[in-house]
Amino acid sequence: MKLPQKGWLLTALARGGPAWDEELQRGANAEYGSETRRGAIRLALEELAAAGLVQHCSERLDSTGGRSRLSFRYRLTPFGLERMRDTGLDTGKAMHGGEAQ
Amino acid sequence: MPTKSSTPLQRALARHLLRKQRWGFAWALWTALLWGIWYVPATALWFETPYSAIPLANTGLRVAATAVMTWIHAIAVFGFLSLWNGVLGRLPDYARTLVRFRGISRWYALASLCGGPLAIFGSCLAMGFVGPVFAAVTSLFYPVVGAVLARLWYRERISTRAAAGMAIIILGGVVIYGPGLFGELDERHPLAWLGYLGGVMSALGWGSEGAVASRAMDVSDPDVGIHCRFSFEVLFWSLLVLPALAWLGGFPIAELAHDSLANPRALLWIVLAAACHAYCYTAFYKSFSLIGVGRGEAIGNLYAVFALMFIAVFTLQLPAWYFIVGLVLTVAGSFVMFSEPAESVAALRDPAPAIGGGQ
Repeated sequence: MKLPQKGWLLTALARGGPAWDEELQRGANAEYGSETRRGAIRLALEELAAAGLVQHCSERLDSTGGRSRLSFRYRLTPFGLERMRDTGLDTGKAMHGGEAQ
Repeated sequence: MPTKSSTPLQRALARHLLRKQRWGFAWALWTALLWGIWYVPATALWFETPYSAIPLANTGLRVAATAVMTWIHAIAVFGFLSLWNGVLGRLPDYARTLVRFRGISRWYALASLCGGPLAIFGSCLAMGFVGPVFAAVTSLFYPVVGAVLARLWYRERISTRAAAGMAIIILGGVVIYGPGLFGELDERHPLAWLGYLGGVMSALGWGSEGAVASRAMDVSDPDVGIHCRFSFEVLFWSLLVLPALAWLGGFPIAELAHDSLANPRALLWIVLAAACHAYCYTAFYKSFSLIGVGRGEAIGNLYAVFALMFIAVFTLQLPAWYFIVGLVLTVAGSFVMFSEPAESVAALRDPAPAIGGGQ
């Protein structure tokens, strides 16, 4: 069975290292198909950031079609890694390679 | 706050934080509003059969009736949450979260025990053995329990301003309900201690529910989380509490359930109460993820104001003068909390590494 979406986001960051929200959105679309909506993934990432499981490592302002959009690059924190272990989520290479900073 | 000379990126960041903070407080305010409305159908239910036929002196049967009422209510809440998550396309995520019992959903099971049987049963004891005003006043202290547990358990930050706002809101609630206590407290009642114990249980139950659920929401969605929590609550009432009341207490549980379901007016009030409760709780859990347990529960405490306002509208009985004082205090406390800088709500927890693995 697939992981709950928030758990999948943590696992993606643990395995692949820091990622932009757009990249995580594309990954979630590939994993969950039409279930994921753009706003829901961004909100889940912000909830994870507020709780200290992930943190912003950089941000940028993209302008397309006269509208600007704020994007964040996220990385897993040591607390996020610990919470993943507590909840039985596979921490991938972060468990061995120390991806979380 | 960014100045005129700040870059477009800094301004966008500031707007982002402000939007997040406002959404968090907006969800908490929805909680308070729906919780306040909930009191109208929940109170009206006691005036319908089979509940209206139970004498006040028959405390045991009234507790059993409350358990039956809460069980049907929990099933209806579960139905509304299924509809909500079905429309949002979150039912598959609900199933994925529920089956991970050891890692995630056990916390929702614990939250349902804290907020269901512990808090509701405690509140019933407080109502039955001391009085409804005492029960309401003791419940107002649950944000303190929630904030302290969240602080000790996973280092949730509470700024001085947030703590001050929380204290003013609680004081406002006590002013609203407190004067009624003078006519209610009767030290000579031999079982009054049971009511006091119940009051403590309700504050502990609802306060700890927020902290425990928030722990599970670290790795799961709030909409899905509240659905899991009510799934467990339905199971606890169905498999533990009601069978125990029927077999050990000898109460007519099946008859009470049948009579409730056979009375369309009682059923209507239950469905209306459940609709309010389902979306009240959804908003409650969403606010925890954005502004933290302490702030979410403190703003949720504004239900005290909304409840009295809606009851006044439906019964056409104006509340006493001290309601205005309590209203001013609770609104002032809310503004103290809203005025907290968005930056201080951006990170809800201290970044220090956790001690031990089981937090």
